[in-house]
Amino acid sequence: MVSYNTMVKKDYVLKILINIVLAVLFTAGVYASEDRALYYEGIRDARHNNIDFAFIIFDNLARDYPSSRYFEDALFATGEYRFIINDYTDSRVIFNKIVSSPENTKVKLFAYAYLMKLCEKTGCEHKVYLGYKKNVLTFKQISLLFRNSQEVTYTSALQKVHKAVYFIDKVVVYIDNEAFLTIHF
Amino acid sequence: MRHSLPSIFRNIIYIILAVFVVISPIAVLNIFLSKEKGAIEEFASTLCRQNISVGGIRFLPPNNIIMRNIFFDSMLTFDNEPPFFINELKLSFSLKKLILDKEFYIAKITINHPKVDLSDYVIFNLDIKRIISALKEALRNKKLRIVLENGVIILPFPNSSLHPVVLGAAVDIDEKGNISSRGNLSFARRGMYNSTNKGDSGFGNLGYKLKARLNRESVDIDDLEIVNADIYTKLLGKINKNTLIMGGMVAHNSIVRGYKGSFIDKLKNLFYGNRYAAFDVIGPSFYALNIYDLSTKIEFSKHGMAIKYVKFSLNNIPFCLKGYFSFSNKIGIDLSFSSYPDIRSSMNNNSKKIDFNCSATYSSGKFDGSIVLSFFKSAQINNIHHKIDLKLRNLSFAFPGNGNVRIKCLRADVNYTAGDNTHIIFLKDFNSSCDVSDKKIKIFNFTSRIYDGFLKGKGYLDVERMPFRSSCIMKIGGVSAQNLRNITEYFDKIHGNLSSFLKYRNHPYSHLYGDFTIENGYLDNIMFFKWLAGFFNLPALKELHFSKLSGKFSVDDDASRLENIDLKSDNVALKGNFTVSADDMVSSKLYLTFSGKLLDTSAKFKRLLKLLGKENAKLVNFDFQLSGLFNAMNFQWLESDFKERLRELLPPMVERILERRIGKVVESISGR
Repeated sequence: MVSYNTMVKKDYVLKILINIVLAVLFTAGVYASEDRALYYEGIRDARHNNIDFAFIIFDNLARDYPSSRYFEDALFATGEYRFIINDYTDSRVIFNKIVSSPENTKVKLFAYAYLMKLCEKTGCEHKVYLGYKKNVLTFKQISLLFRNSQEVTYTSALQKVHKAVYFIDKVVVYIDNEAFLTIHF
Repeated sequence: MRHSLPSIFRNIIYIILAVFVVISPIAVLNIFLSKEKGAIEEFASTLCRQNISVGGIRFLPPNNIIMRNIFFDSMLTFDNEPPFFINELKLSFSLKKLILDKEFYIAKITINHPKVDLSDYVIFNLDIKRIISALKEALRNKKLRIVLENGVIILPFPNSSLHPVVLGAAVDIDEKGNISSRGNLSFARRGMYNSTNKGDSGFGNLGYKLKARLNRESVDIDDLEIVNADIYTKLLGKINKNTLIMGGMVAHNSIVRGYKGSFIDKLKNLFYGNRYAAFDVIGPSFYALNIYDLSTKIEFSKHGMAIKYVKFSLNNIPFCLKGYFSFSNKIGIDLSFSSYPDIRSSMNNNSKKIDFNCSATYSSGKFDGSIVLSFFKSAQINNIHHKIDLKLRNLSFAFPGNGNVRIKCLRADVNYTAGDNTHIIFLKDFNSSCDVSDKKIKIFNFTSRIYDGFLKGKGYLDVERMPFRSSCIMKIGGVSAQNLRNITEYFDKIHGNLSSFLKYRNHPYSHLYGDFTIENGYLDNIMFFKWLAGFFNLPALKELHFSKLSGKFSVDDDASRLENIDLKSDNVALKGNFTVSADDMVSSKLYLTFSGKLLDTSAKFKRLLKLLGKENAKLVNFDFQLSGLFNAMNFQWLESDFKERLRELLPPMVERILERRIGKVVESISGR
């Protein structure tokens, strides 16, 4: 027979445990949703062509949530924005930060494309330029049997469609269907 | 008239008496010297601490003692010293001192035609300490002038007619031990070092001027200038016991006015030949190779010579030479030469850093050893580390005259590493002759066995400009291509008999190019053909036999290119080009033609051709373009009639499935 007191004690302990678990889950949820909320807020602004506000939001996101799943996209957006407003120095710093990560993501491919464009605009060491070029050219291995090209696309947080079209002898990078860069093998 | 005859007789008698009075002491003295020859030899042996024998000794009035055929043999006291021979030694003593002070004092020593033959005595000791103490003992705070005329050093290369070194020097030592000397050293032409030679400069002439002080156990070198037409060297330092410490500068292509000298020097040279170097240096130029901070420490010992360091800067690049020459049982050399010697791994990709190591043993005129050269070469993206490791067996040099140098080597293993790529070449019976008589252009020929074939070539080296410019034409024949797989991995899968004609030049950029032919061979398991074989079910492509594979190649700093590739076989023809850039990027177009006979072996292909209405086709073309990384190539099947028909035949979905399948196959081949 289990006594009443013992049952009350067990119930009490259980309540405390449930509260702790809920508190942890709730807090984590708040954290996860904050960066997500920020990201989508930025996306909304970008869709309404308010890229200045979108930039502020993505900049906050990239600063405050370095472990967020939206971090790389947000960072890329800030680099992209700075490139648009001709702040090439800071833009270069941001894209260099993106390409220094070990993962081989689509974001990295287009960060290299921006870095190449920055080299063309502001100049850089030839070896560095060739390094960027090689990274873009070798990002994807293609085999073209009946097609003439293969594509890699990425829509940035600023809602610009980035597309790299891989031909056998060149790669053409488009931003919003406008040719941004042509790189020959 | 009556008195004339007796007076004549009387005069004759007077003359005879006078001659007798003069000659008899000389004769007596000469007899005495001959008798005392043994004692003189013993005295000289004790003084020089060597076993000395004298062929003849005589007195020459008024104040000279002449000794001939003097032989210094140190076998009794020191091992491994070369024989030293003096044709004539003239000791001029001071008559004044002899008459007034009754002191026999030698004021001048003239050494005529001394000769050291090192040809059989490669191993010898250079005991500087002993030389200094012997000189000090002999001088005893007195003035002395030593003149060396037509001294000859036969260099240590047995069975060769290497030009001997001819020396001429005058040394003045005062009571305080101050030494002042000048002289010259030249490489004589063959037969030049005989008695008729009056100091003809031969093809290399070095003049020197020295001011030094002789101390108890050391010599302070206050000023040493060494000059020839191209080089001006100014040094100062000290020889302490057996350690030489020196510092100074060297200027190449300095403004040297030539061997002008003073009026007295000119007079001396007029009468005695160009014995004394007389040069006049205006100053070093500032555009040539100048070294202003030379610093040297060398230790001599009975068993060898240790170069503790020779440090200097050349064009603002610091260099250091270290090493050891061993003279014990076998001659051994261990030298290391580095630029930026104090810089470690932090600047390891510095393209101006060079490390050179040479270690060898020398015996019976032949070297065995290795040479390692390591450097970084500037490449498009990163500097690439290059290393040349050369192992040599039985390397010998011969100097047959007329400025020729012959080099022979029984075996040379060349291991060349550039980045991650290693190329290994084995050469046997390498023979080369080089004409070094021309000051600017050195022409060389060489022949060698390379694996089961031969290599021969001709080239030149232009040493007038830095860096040296070189061009070379080579021919390789009769080599099994498989044997060359260590040179480049391309040959790993190619079999057949290779012959090639190559040209190389290093100016204005390093460029190796030529053509090649491989006959009666086969391509074994080449990835591209392996994929084709699998995809079209054509197993014959896995081992593609051919009658002839030819092409042109070109290798420079930017890329390796294969052009005009032409493969002829019963079933397949291949044409095209293939380029791999320095950063491993490929650019290629290949044109393949399959024979109907080959296609008949593939049921899959046969069916395909039937579907395309080409079942009776005798030849089918496949053209491909390749790009991307060498180890992860992109490829595109180029447009053709066959492809167009196939596309029309296949539903779009099948096309996409095929594309995906091919993509997976390609990725699996490349390993990405």
